[in-house]
Amino acid sequence: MKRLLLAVPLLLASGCATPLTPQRVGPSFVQVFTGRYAEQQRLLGRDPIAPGSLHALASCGRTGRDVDGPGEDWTCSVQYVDLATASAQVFELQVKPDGCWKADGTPATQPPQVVDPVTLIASTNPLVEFDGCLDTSW
Amino acid sequence: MKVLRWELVRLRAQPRIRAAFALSLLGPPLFALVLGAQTGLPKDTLFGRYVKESGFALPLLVLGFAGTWVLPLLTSVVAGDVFATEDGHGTWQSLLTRSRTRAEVFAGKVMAAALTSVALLSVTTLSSLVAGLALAGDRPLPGLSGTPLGLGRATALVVASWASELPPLLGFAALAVLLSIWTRSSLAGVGGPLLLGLVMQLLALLGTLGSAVNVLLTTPFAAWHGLVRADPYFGPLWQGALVSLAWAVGCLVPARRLLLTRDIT
Repeated sequence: MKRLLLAVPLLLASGCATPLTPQRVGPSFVQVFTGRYAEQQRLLGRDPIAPGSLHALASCGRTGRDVDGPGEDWTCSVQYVDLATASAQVFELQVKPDGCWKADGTPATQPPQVVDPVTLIASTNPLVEFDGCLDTSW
Repeated sequence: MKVLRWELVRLRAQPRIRAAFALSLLGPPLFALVLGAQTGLPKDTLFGRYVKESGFALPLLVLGFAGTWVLPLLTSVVAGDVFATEDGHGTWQSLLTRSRTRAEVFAGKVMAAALTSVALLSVTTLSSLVAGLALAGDRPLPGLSGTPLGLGRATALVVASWASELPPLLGFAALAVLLSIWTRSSLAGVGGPLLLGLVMQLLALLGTLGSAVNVLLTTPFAAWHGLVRADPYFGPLWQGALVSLAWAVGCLVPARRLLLTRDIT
């Protein structure tokens, strides 16, 4: 019984490393960003674009003292190519302990609404804020 | 089987079980009515920002909340009292003088609690899906991988997400059964799992456990996050099912032993 009681904390300690690292948050962010970007362009009246065609890359990290784990001080800088033009944007992220995150675009680059220039239909901007989750299982 | 049938009839007649079913059935539509009347959206919760865009967002918003607080409550209300009520009413002796062994009584009562918990989960699933569709229609749902999910896929994933709550729900039912037998108190049987669930939620929220958070019984309630996407991942689902099974066995084995060896004369 004593051995079992000793084994439990050891087992917990061995599995204690957080899965919320920049290396795992980055790809999760890129996938959701490209999907929401394609949706944004559709709302702007463009022909459908494949998220993969954007060749997006993201660099994510925390601005505070910690380098990984949950927190509200995450940022992701994403670079992508669309219409033969390279662009970059920065998003602030809140990463929660359950592996889900919420990204906020800066108002200067991501207004609350987007308007189709032909139909003048206004829609909520899919990139103003969006959520994603990453696999935190062992 | 006789014990199971009798226990199901008894559970159905209890006012608090009826209240639990009423909450499951009416809670989501009432929540939809409140959301429909508001201009703001619960944007801090997953799918909260989409509740007026797609009818599939509401059942997932409800699921996020229910998995944390409501489902452990509902299952504890059912399972936390099935054994302690015999102690409370002093009816063990008359129950065991019928031609049923203690092992049969244990199995029947546990199965009745599990089936009632499954019924509550099914009612909540259906109710929240119908309420969501009534609120926002069947437009595509923006999935957690960024791309929209159409009608058929979104419906299947919402149902699968709710079904993924079953393993931890039954784990909590087993925990409630153990506390109900061990303490002989309905209050401990119902309130104990809730309290333990709250402690587990707080431990998870602290974020200091890292991956060790996966051994908590509350973590599998979030396994559905991996399903609502164009490219589902199933790691949390399988892991959650194994963890829940371990909790269920770890609770039911000592609970059964306690009941079989107890002096009830």
